[in-house]
Amino acid sequence: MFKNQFISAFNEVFESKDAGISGSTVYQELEFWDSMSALMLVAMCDSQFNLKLTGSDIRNSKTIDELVDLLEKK
Amino acid sequence: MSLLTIEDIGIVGISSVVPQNSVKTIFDSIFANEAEALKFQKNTGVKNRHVVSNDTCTSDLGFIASRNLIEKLKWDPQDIDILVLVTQTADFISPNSSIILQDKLGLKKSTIAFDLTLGCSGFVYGLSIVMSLMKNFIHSKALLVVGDTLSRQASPYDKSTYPLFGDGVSAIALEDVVGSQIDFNLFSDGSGFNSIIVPGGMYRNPFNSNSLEYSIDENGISRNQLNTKMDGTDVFSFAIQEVPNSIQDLIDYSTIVNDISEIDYNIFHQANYFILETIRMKLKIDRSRFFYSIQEFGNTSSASIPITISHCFENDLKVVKGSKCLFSGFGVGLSLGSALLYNACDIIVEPIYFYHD
Repeated sequence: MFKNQFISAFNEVFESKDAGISGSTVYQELEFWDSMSALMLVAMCDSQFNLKLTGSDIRNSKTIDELVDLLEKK
Repeated sequence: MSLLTIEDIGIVGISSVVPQNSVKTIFDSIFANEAEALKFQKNTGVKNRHVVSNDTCTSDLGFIASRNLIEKLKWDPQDIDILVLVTQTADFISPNSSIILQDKLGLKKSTIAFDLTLGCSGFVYGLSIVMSLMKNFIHSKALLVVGDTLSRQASPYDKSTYPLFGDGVSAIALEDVVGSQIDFNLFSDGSGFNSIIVPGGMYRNPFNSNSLEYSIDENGISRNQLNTKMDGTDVFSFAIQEVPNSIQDLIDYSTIVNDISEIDYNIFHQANYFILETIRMKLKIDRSRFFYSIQEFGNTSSASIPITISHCFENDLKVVKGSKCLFSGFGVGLSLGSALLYNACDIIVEPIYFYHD
């Protein structure tokens, strides 16, 4: 449930509806990903889910599934 | 949260100094091409920044800023009781540069002078400390001097710091002003000490034969032990959560305003444009009451709030009496200070002085 909401929010922020984002996507290897994307992801988690994502959370998660797991524990 | 109120002390003048030499982001050779430079400019808001030569120190800029302000206000240097310098880029490991300034400015020997080693939160912290000290005098005059030469601390290969930081110093004159009120909310989170750090050169990692050797970190950035290392994502995460919370608590506590919409001038540390806009929108602050100087001067550390005042009020040459101002500084520490000021006198604002080094 949260995972679907997360992916839907992700696609909206990064305009990535056609990129086929799924749980197994290694998001930091997406073509558009750069240092700014990390900040946009932190802003998205704050504004849409009221969750605090940190730099180390991003470093410690490879896939969307790993990131969602980490957020669900917060 | 640490909330406090200080009454009957006001800001009477501000004077800012930046080095004459400036670098335009689009011409900065650190970027591979113009597209990369433009992207950086769009995200950070930095179009231009002023940088010192390798011979210029914070106290050199601080001397000019202080001297200009003393002259403008027609203060007698012998009347100044307190001089506090907030800087992370002092002249020496010791002694404090504020004491050198006491002598250079011709202040009396009974002047209380010391340095505070804070960065982006330093203007607000400096105000709270100087004003608290002033409350113990019957009458007093004080100078708060804030700023850094961070361009000398950044690795020239580090795109996350080098093109972001500009150099500059401001002097702020404080005096007894009946009817003024300032409310503070101060906050520290040392668990984030590593988010912005200069790891070497002091006593945890003393200077040694390897200190100046460049090495590449996990993000592919080359820097030495005396360079600033910044985890922008951590700082961003801290800022967008804690700054709005701290400001909301301050407004709830303060008797100066009931709602953020009543504040005339919102002047925040110029961290970067994306952080500031995220915070501004979270707090629902009208864009016309929210001020920027980052486009012209970059992130100028503890001087960024007074430099923004100098920049935005240089046509009026004052912030009129009765204005309600919100200041918020946040960053290295991690440290955060916000202040809500009702100033019962004009703040005289000197045009920015460009220093030839």
